[in-house]
Amino acid sequence: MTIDEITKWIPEALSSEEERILEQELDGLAGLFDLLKDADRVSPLVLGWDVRI
Amino acid sequence: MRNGIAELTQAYQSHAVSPRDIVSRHLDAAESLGRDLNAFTAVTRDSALREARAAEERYLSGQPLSPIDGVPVSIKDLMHMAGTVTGCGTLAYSDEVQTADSAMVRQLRQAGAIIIGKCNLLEFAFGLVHPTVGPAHNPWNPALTIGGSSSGSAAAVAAGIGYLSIGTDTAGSVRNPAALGGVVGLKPSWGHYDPEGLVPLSPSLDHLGLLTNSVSDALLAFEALGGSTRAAKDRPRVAWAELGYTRPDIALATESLVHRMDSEVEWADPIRYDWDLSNAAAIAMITAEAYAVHRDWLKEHWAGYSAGTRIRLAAGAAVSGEDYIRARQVREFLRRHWARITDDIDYVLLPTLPAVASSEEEALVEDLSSATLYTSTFALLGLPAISIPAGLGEGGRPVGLQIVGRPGRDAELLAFAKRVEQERGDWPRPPHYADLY
Repeated sequence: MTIDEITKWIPEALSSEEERILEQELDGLAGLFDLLKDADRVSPLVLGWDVRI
Repeated sequence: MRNGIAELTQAYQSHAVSPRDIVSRHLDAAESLGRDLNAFTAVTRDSALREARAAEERYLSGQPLSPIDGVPVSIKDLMHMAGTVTGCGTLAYSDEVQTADSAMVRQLRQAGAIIIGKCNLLEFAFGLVHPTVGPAHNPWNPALTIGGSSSGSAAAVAAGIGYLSIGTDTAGSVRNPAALGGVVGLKPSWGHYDPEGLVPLSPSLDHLGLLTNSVSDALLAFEALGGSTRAAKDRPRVAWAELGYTRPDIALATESLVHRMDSEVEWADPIRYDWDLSNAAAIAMITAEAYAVHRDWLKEHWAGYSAGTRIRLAAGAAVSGEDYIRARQVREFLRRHWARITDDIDYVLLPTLPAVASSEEEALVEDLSSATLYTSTFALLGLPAISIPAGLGEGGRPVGLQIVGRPGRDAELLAFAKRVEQERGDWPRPPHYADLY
């Protein structure tokens, strides 16, 4: 989801500082999910469909 | 050495002191030193004195309800208590007076504990201070952070106000402030306490936990709140967890304490684990679930949140269903991996935090991932973990040792932690301390 999509439902306009923080948070989250997507390096077998969710 | 719960209730039984007198002293301290430390959001004087009178009658008739009957305690202002507003450290939550107790408050009352007040916290337990509410201050030095999110609970207990405080721990929020405030913080196994009546942050990871001044007090509280007691294994097998970020003063304090136990434990090889991956899974799940919890409140009460909290919560909208499921898959893998590598190990040891308390200004710029790296794994995996004061680090600031047990074996973990605490010996009082009994 992009910043524009997120800010669409926020009831007030964000200040430039808030937009900066949001951008930073989204970058941080993207980094986390890159790490999680790359987790197969730990064990490609276990991270398959057999994992109970 | 300060008195603990056992000494207090013995004094009740011998009528050396009365619950009314003790509770009254703790209420006064909550309204004086507790106010200076910004540890309390509410002091519940009327109900506490009423309950203290009832406890006094039980002791006079020789029929206390539990090992914590008549003991002054506090709760994090994130759980409902009839007759009070649940503040959540924000201006965004309901200002209605609650009409029902949360499950934990009911358990405390059934045990006869006297709730003297509700404790300050980071906003919605999510890692930032609401500027109107302000931070709780560290009794070791009010200019230092006491972390969070159960910040007021740790400050109150460290300052000697109440013998027990109930906090919550989603990624370290009991253990982190316990370490910085020089008190004991227990996050039990997942699901040990009923979260009913608790304002959630991340329902898959939220744990209720205990903060006390000693493991002995934590054991009594654990027992009084429905836990069993178990003896520690004679010669448990223990291992250090290897993490690469620990400051030298933290390593020195924790390792020197644990190596005093060498004759009583069997050492296994250090545990190597993908801490970054497990922290990422924890933060991803918390971010997604916290957004789901807050989505409607954010729309209705945007201005009541602090700017930092609402932006961080809103960012959770960016987590897709696929990403969330991926985080849960990784958690399942990590759970299996942990079980495999700790198969023959009773306790894993590591510092609670990689550094001592920083100034409150410095703490404001720390990000969530670095603050939770040493603690989030055990919330993610639902393992019981306790932080106990190990020693003093740089600047005479408290250092916490974290001991992690096997799932469901909380009582054994507490028994082992008590042995470590006995090996450490007396723990000093912080400069800001109410010497009440």
